[in-house]
Amino acid sequence: MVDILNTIKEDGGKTGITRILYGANLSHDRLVKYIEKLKEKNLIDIVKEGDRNMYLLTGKGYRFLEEYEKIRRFAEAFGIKI
Amino acid sequence: MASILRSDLFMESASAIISLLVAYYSMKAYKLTENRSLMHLYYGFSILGTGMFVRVFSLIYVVMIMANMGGSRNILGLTYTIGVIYGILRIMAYGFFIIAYTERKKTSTILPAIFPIILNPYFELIEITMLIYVVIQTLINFSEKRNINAMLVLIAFSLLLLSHIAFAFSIINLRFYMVGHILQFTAFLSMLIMLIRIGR
Repeated sequence: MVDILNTIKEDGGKTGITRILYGANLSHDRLVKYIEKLKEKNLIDIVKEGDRNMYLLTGKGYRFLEEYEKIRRFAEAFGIKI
Repeated sequence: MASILRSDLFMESASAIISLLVAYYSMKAYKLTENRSLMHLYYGFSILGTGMFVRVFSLIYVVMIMANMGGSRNILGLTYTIGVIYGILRIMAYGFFIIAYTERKKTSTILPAIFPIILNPYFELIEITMLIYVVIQTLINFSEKRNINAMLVLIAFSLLLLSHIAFAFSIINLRFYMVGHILQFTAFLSMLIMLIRIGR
């Protein structure tokens, strides 16, 4: 799920499904499942642009990624891989 | 003697607070990632911090009793018991650190780490041997990661190890007792610097 959020963030906070599929390296079925969970937790939003869905990183999503990065650095300092 | 005790209590209290801060951060990290090694870090640092506070409050209590009752055989028994409890809590804490590092590797490397517990009867020696294992793991991590945070954790555990060596010598010379506390406090300051850097 963090990979999905990071992929959206790398694309300026908004991107399409194909980019996420390749960026997060997931199968379509798993991606759909994770997208639903992220939407439920209000970490992403889905908007329609023409006939495509675009996935937006919410403010909460940005804060989650910041917090996750701190925790990753904390774990890394102790040699723990997350 | 009184100034030594005051400095000792101040440094140990500050170290306990930092230890509990690290425990809090470990728990936060565990809740987000469900990584068991982080949970063991949480247990280790929270037991260590709690143990330090137990020692601080027990020492204050003993000093208050001595001020009111003068020297007494009961005090010796009480201080011995406090020492044993504190030693056991520290060993438990370092045990959790060892588990956190052996779980990380997913190998059964825990056996060499627990052998000293079976062989050595003295708390400081047990803690020193356990900490040597932890320091080696943090050194390996620093040599792989080569970043400042990993270096700060290595420094912290190395200083903690040195503090226990100093405490072991304190029965020969009381100066080593203060040196041990200064080293321990500096170890936790290193942890605090790491936490502050991560939080920025």
